[in-house]
Amino acid sequence: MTRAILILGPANVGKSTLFEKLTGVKTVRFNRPGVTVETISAKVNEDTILVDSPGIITSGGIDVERLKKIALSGNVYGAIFVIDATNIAAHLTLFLAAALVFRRIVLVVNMYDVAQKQGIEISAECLSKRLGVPVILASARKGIGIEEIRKILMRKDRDRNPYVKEYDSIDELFKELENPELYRELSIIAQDIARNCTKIRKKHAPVREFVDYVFLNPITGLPLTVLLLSITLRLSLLISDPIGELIEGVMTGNQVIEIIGAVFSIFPLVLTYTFFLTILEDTGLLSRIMLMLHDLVRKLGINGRLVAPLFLALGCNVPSVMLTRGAESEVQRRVAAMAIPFVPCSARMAVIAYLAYNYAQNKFLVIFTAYTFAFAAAIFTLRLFSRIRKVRSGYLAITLGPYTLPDPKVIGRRLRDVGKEFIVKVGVFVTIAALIYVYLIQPYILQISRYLAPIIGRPEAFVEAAVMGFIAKEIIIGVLSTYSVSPSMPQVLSFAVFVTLYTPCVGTFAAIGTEIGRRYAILSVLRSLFIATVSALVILFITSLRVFVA
Amino acid sequence: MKLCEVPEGEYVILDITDEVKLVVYQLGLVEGSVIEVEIKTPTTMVINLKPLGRIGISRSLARFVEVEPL
Repeated sequence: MTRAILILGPANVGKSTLFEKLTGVKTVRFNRPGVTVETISAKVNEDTILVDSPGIITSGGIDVERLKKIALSGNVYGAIFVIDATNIAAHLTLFLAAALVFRRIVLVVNMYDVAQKQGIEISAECLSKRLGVPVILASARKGIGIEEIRKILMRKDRDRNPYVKEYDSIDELFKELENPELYRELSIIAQDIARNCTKIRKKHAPVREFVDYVFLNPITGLPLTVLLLSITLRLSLLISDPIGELIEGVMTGNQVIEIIGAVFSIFPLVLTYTFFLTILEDTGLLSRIMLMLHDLVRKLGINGRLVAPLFLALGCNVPSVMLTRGAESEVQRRVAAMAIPFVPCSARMAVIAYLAYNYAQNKFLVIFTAYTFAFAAAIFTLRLFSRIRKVRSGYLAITLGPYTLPDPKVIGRRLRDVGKEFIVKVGVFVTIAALIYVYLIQPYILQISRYLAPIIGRPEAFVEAAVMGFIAKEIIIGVLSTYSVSPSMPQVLSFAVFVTLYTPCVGTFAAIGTEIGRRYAILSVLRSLFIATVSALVILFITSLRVFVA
Repeated sequence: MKLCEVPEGEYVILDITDEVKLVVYQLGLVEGSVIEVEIKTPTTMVINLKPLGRIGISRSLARFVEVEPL
């Protein structure tokens, strides 16, 4: 029977690099009954698979529910717990907690080369003696310690680590992992071990000190963080736009192919933004960005970890929804995913600008009103859902690892995984949605829209454009360009707000459906339609009071 | 005094409010831990846990931690 060994550890300690070094062949999904945690696994030898299971230990600590699911998934034989050599005191507490769960556990002290450069000497012998488990000092990037880990993976001893306690039931064990007093005891042991097994000769890390000084500085920190995220988004758009247009240009012929083409034109953006985000993460900068922005975004009911996906939503909502995977919890993820469709993406930006420049005398008013309603709706959703789901966005505490150069293999693997997932999940969903839309729904909606136009007081072209905009917002411009209409200022204003809010495009709908659940995808459309209709009617009402001059 | 209000320097943790104990303990910070407040911004702070641990925390969390200068 194949045995599974998990790779566990806090964020940014080099788990992915280690996984890459230890495996490297065929990647397979680790889907056991009852396990819903996103994991990736690969064979390391005849009867052993290594499982990379991110998200079990986050900046908020151990996600006990996720850990329980994966630990009880059948053939889990043991765990490799990876910690950062420059953060031993902080990370050993979590290792000791994991040692309560896994009978066989190995400690890998990674990034030892970086620690040595900072003058930190660690005794593996001392750690092993005190902890009662095998300890390997490693540098996954440089391949140091990999053979030693491989040898341990070959062993099939029945020894259990000294921290395993006998509990009356499994539930009791996992309940204990939610007890703060347990971590208090473990922290005291961890600090004592760290003190006795390490020697610090000097304490000078010029690169880290300088970058941290600039990035976490009260004056330069925040502008630099926003600038870095802006550059990331701008570069992603700059690189991906021409390729996206090319895909869209090639995928023509019939309407179904055009719809699929419109969604797949986002694919280059998904990859480029993932590329830059992985670089930020791998270098150690992302944890600093999350820290800098956390207290700003927590007022909205979310955690700093969701800053990057939300920022990306300004470019495109589809990858933004996919990247909410980094959230602290499933509840936080759902809350963010439900708010993302209100963040005006670059396509909606283009539609708003088109309406302002082609139909409005007061261009600024149209753009300002549409954006104000969009951000108000996003903030309202975040706050409302956070309250309903009782989300604890609260506090961010994050271990700050050393700065390192990005590993091309880690970036490559991330791109491969994200790309594959986009093609398989979103691709299938979009194809089905496009077929249903074109052959079953569209003929009737277009008919209804013709009757609706006079009732809701807009030009018929606006209604038809809005219906077609469900596929991709850019299509709105395409439809409007074929008509010659002269709408009044209130009509332009209400329509601009309506199309900014009314529904996520089919790509975002597919992403929410596959990532969060179909129920949430349908709910997001209905909710958006309701808010958009109310907002458009409010605008029509206000403008009818002649507050604004057409 | 509260951790979120102190100037840069070395401190010992005196008390942690129950509400945040689970998060703070998991970082290796307990009553009696020696920490060095290294960088402060209006919303965050970077602390070094002796002997080895570099942690960034939000001020919203730091206000639940009582410290005393070493």
